[in-house]
Amino acid sequence: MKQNKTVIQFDNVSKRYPTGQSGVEGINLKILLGEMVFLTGHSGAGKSTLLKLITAIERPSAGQIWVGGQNLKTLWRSQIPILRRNIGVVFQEHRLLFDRSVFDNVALPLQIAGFSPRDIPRRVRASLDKVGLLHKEKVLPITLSGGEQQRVGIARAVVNKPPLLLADEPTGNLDPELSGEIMLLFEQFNQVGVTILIASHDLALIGQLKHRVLTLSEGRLVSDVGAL
Amino acid sequence: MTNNVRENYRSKSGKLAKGNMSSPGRQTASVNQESQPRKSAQRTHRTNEFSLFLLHHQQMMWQSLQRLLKAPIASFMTALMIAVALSLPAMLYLLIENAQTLSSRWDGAPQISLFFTLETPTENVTEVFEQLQQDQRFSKVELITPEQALSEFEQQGGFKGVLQHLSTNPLPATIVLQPKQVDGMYHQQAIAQTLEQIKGVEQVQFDTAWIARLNAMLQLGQRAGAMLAGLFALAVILVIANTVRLAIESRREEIVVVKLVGATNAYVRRPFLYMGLWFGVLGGLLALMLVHCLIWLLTDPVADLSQLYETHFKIAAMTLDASLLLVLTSGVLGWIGAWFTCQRQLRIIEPR
Repeated sequence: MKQNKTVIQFDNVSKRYPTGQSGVEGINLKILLGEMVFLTGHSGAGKSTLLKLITAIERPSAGQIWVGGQNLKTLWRSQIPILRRNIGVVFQEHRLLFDRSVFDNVALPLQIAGFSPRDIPRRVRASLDKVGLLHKEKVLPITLSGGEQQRVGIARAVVNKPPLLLADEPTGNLDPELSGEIMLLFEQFNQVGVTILIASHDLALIGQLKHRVLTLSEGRLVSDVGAL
Repeated sequence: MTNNVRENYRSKSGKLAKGNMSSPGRQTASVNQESQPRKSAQRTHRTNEFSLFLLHHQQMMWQSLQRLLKAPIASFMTALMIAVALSLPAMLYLLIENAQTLSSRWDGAPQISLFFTLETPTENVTEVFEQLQQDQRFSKVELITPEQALSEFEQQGGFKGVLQHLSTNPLPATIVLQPKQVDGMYHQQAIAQTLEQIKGVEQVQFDTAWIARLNAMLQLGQRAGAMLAGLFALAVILVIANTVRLAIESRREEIVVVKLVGATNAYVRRPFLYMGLWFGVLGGLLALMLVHCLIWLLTDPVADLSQLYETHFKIAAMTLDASLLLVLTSGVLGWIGAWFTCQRQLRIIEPR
């Protein structure tokens, strides 16, 4: 599914935190449309920082970032929400809202993006169906297992069909079997053309899958294996 | 503001689709061929978007009310706090309003009474009366003959029995004048001087002093009331700002999540603005009830007092206009308080 179009481009990007927290240093990187890429490295190597730079949660101290052809440097504050609607994000700690049902959690991005209330149920159910949780739409997330919660998080990330999907340690809290299932799910989304970037330190799992692997160490990109 | 963001979204999403990050499943054939049908699709999308925008407003309005009613006691306390703060200036306003209706019975312009000596013949008095009627300086000239004065006195004071024993009428003829315009005391003094020179006039009496004093007091009261109202409005804003701040704090995680999935600040702000509005409106309604209760409690004592003064003064309740204004102002104050908090808090709460 890979095409010769750049979705993410980093040009000598550095992020230093004033608090002395570890960031990233001199990152050059290109991710093409339809790629599935793993981002690996020890904790504190800068994986999360890199993902936060893509979603404009953090702004780079130096260098330029393009996402979907848009230079993030020229992005206004008011345009950030629009950027984020085009990027699905899966978090390690799920970040579900526990005061509402699974259905409402998944519907959230659609409501925010201003989808018509007539379209929302159909899309939410399609998304929940993909992650195999259609029968749980009415329950509260707190009653679900860790793996199920993560799948609800994935359903929420893909419900408005974003062209780009980011995942930060999506299998961090799961056993190997569940982790494999989650990765399979990501591969299925990649099959239909979604560009995917997954930060993970689960080297065993990454080794089983034949995808491009970026390795960060102390904020620097030290290897890029499998790029075509 | 929100429309701007939406505009951006549209142009941005169009750009994204045409650019490098085309959606999965979308045919990436020719951009030019595609652009025509999409334009018209966008137009229908736009009208849709506005009704969705209104729909979201409507949803947030009811959702935030439901949220308030979920914690009825806490919400009631807050609304009551607002009501107390509002009912104080409202009561003051009412008191001043009532006092003004009292003083306005004298039209604000002073009346002048000309008392004649008892010896002045009736013909002379009538002559003066006719002259004064021609005088352009007075809007109203009224003659009270000794006989009229006596009968009025009898009716009012209950002196009937006493007066019957008097052989002659002790009351003089009087002419009551209403000057046309009051430009200042100097003017009045000039009038007084001319009037005093009329033959047979014993005394010229201005009943202005106490009205002037009352009016000055009322003006002072009004000014003080306005200042007080301003202070209490500030108090209402602060109460609501603080309540909304707590609400924002308790929904911090939710705000972070919705911002992460692309909510605009306007979207995040909306439920809290409605919360402030509701608190304001509920507080305003409670304040109305409070004021009405207080007036009801005052009705009997006022009636007793006015009976002692032999008048039929009744304390006036708030008019419909004033009541509406109170609730509306309160709602607006709530909105403002919530808005200030949102500006501060929502900028701080960002995904990390």
